[in-house]
Amino acid sequence: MRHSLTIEKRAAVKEKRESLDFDIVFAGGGPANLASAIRLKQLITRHNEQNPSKTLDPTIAVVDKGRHAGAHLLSGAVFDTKALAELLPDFVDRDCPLDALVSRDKILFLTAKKSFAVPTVPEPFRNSGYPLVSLSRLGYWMAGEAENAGIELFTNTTAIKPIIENGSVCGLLTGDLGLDRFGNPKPDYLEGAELRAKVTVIGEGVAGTLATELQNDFSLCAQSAPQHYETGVKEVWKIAEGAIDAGEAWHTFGYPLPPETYGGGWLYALSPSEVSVGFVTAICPQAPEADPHKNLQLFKQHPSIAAILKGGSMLEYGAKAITSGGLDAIGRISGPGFLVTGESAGMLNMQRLKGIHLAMKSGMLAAETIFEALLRDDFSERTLQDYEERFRNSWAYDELHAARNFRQAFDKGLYQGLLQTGMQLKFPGLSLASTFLRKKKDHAARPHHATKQKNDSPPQFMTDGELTFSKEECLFRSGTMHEENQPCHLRINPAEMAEICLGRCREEHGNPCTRFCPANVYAFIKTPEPTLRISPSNCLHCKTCTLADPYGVITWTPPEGGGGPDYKLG
Amino acid sequence: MGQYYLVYLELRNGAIAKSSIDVWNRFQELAACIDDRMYGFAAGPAAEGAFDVLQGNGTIYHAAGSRSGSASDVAVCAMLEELACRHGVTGIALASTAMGRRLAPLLSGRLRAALLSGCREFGGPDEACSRFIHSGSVIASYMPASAITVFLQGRELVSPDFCAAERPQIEVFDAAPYLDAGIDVLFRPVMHSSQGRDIAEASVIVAGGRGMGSPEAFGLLEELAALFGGSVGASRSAVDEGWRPHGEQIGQTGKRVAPDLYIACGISGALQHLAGIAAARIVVAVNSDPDAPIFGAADYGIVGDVRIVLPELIAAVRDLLTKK
Amino acid sequence: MRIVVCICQVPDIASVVTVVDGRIDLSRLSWVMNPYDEYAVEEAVRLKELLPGSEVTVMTATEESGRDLLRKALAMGADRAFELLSSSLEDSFQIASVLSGAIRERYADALPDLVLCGRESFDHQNAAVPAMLAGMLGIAFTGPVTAISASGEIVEFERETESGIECLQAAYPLVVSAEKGLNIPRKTGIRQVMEARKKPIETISVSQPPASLLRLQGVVPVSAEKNCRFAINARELAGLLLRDGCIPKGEE
Repeated sequence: MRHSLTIEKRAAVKEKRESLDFDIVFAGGGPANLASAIRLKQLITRHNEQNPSKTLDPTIAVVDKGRHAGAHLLSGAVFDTKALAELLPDFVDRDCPLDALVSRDKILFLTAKKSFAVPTVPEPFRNSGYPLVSLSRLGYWMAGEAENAGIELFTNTTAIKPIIENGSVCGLLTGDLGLDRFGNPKPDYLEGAELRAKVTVIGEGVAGTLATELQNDFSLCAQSAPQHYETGVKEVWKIAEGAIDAGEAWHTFGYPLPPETYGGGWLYALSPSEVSVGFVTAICPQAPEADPHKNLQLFKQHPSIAAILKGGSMLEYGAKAITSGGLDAIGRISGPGFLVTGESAGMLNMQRLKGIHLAMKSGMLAAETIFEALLRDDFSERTLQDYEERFRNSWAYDELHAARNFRQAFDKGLYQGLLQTGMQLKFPGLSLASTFLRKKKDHAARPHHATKQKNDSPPQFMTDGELTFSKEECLFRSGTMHEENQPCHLRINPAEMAEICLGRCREEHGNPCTRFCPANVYAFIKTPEPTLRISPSNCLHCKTCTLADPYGVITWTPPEGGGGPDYKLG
Repeated sequence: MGQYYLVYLELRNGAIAKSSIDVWNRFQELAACIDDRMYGFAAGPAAEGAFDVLQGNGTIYHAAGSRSGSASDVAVCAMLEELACRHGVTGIALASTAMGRRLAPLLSGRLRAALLSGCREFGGPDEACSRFIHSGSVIASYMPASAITVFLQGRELVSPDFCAAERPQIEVFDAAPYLDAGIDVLFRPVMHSSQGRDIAEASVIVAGGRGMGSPEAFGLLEELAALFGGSVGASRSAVDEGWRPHGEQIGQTGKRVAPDLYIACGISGALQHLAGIAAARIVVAVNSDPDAPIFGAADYGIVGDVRIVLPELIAAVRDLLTKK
Repeated sequence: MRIVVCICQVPDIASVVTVVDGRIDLSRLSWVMNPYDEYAVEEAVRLKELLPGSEVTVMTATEESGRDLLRKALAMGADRAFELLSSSLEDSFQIASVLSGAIRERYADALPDLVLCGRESFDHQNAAVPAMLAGMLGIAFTGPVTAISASGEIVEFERETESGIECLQAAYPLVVSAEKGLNIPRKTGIRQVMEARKKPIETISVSQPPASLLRLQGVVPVSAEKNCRFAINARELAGLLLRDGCIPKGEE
């Protein structure tokens, strides 16, 4: 009866993969690509007004894997509005969602119980006058601006692969929907589509899937220094008014990190009753011991932070890796058929702890390049290469360059001591390279180190559910959600799972993924059989695992579109 | 003036449904004032002595004339409306059965009567009613703002222990004028029947999730449920796997249940699942993962493999049952 | 066949519903189409595909913009959409009134053949609007159905009861509510979203809905958190259940 009644599924005729033609396709809907799309549309509109007989009307699409615009964006953040003022000079009138302006900067060195303020805040760390902002809200607002300008924005859509034909990128492939955990089509299966484009703009943020593939295929980073990463973990709290003045921006170093580990905390008073509190921890395969989530919890226990949060409640939790290699690690940012923008290109100034403005600027420069290409109807690699030139001639390059040189000044300067105890975080241009080498040497002596760590592991950190929270409790405030029955998007091949995860890694590092993942995706289960349990549904898309995995066995692939966190204050 | 209550008494195979008796008893308790009055209404054929289970004062109208189980919603609704008007009823109460859930909003819309469903505290038409909303994460209280209030009651409250020497009076109600309402659904007989009781009415539910590992393992749950006289339920994962039918699914996309005892086996306890058991009184969790969120919502827990723990539990419960 | 689908949006399942100053904090919620309504839209679109010449109209009664929600239904295959903006939608009665008013207005000559709704909304879980709507339109209501088979003249459907599955027949017009199991809603890709952006959405302002029948007195958050007592073995657990009166004393 049931079968005769149920209307049978529409005929499942296997057809050729759907292909949609656009002129320009943007992979990723963050500040870089949204600024780029808006800029491009502005240039076209102006051109069309001035040349009514020779108008351009390219189709422009932006795809983003979040379930709404801004859902996957996370930052501190102090926002340098330089690029936005160039893009949309009337951004304030357009209700750009800005929080309090920074009224006072503080740099604090923390010991377990005390804090010492750095008497004079050096220029690059001064934030006074810049607005505090939630990047996810900013992204949501920019997406609205882009859509109003006529950009086709597709949320819930993953870009899983560049389409490369004849040595040139000619679009991207979107992810399949409706596969079960074994990779078989479910009744609601919808095959991903080809989005073909004359120019594909890659702005996926940190450690992007397409960016990584293009870097390999086109050797984009052959000439550049190795990239470096940190993981930022952030919470937004509602607090009792009066605990801190709106606009205070604190940066800390020291506690809870040991001197040899890079990292530091921040506390921004977004309003009299809302603060952004976060912690940045260096992550790298050579030193995978970090636990960024725990560092933030310990940081919040510091008396000077706990006093502010007392009696408050956590509204949102999130995590994101940060690209921190600076100018030296920026490789080529263009290639045949594509441009790379924002953090995917490494546009982040760790000295100033800022990247949004650089991301936006790089996007705008990409837009100008694309506009020229549209005018000339010439999308050759040669034309797109102008982007590199535009970047080198921009203030964005100058700023990144200055940040690099800053390192030498500091090496000899007043703050050398501070830097050695942890401030390097803020100056990655500074000594990461030398540190990297040092860590590499450490790596050779790893077994000894690992044993030591196992034996005198610190007493277990207990969360209290008021000030500090377990990863599970935190996740509840991240809005993260995935279709449960889909292929695991964190791929470890079975042979490596057996040999590395349950063998070598367990012995040498005690499965650091169970600690460095701020989303509790990885857990080691002892019984009935030792297993590394992967809970992909917890994933915050922060990419820490691919960047910190000591053996490089974890591959992060985009899960079904719409999965992932749901940041509103990120 | 007192409250006049009209209770819809659902007849199933000639007998009054247990859930309707609960509602009758609850309103009998409520109608304690001298001015309060109780009315009942039942449609369809009743077995000899079917109404003997009802205690307390009042008048029960029985529309026996309608065919078995076939008095359409619209006809029953029209008859209830007639009785409500005839007696100046202030509250109409229905049990939350499949039919009750169709009738109550229909009555509410036609009589412009406030609908209070799933109340967790109970005061009558003049008092606010509180119920779960947003998957059990919030309790909202509502005040009816209409002359008549329609109550739809499920297992949110413990069965009342109402006892009285009096028996209601039974009167025949002529259904004929109402049976041709014109806009009715035609009925065909029930085609097939699922086994056991509806889980929404069960006082004990033993439910399994993906951790059961196979559809066969649900046999253990059936065995355990049988000892308690309860029903078997399933999590979304188990239903998605095709191990159990949709009708057994508990959670946000399935049924919300309110048993006295809920035993969750191999269920991790996703929020959507917990949403379905917010009103359960005692929750027991059996899971091999000590970090499973289900333990956070459980009164009692055992960490262990369901295939090992369940046979032991079945044996232990059976021992206690035979000792008694 | 002319089909109307009534849909609404609800917080998605990852949204944390919190109470601030005695009210539900809506600012931290993400909204999606009510999952039961997805079944309703899917079924309507399947019927349309089966019965050529059919038209699927979606409607939502809302206090704020419902355009994203309607676009989702259009992407799934609905033909046109109405956003019914109402100043007050406090209870099911007001929502059903606004919907029935709009349906009567749009279908002044003859009511649509089928009005499809979801079983209930995920957030308030009253399951009242479909039946109320049927009452207001003066047409029959099937209750939540798990299967539908429709021809031009007659519709057959299945619904769950306490004693099993009922199979019934009915004539149009009819209000049907969609239960889980009715179908598996389709996913929408870029092409469907682009097509949806070209379909019409009309906004109708409803200035004076009838007064609500329920007044919200207040909301309090509930903690589902219990203090789990772990039993060492099954025997101890059985003992605890006995103590709590959970082991039956024979025939219930």
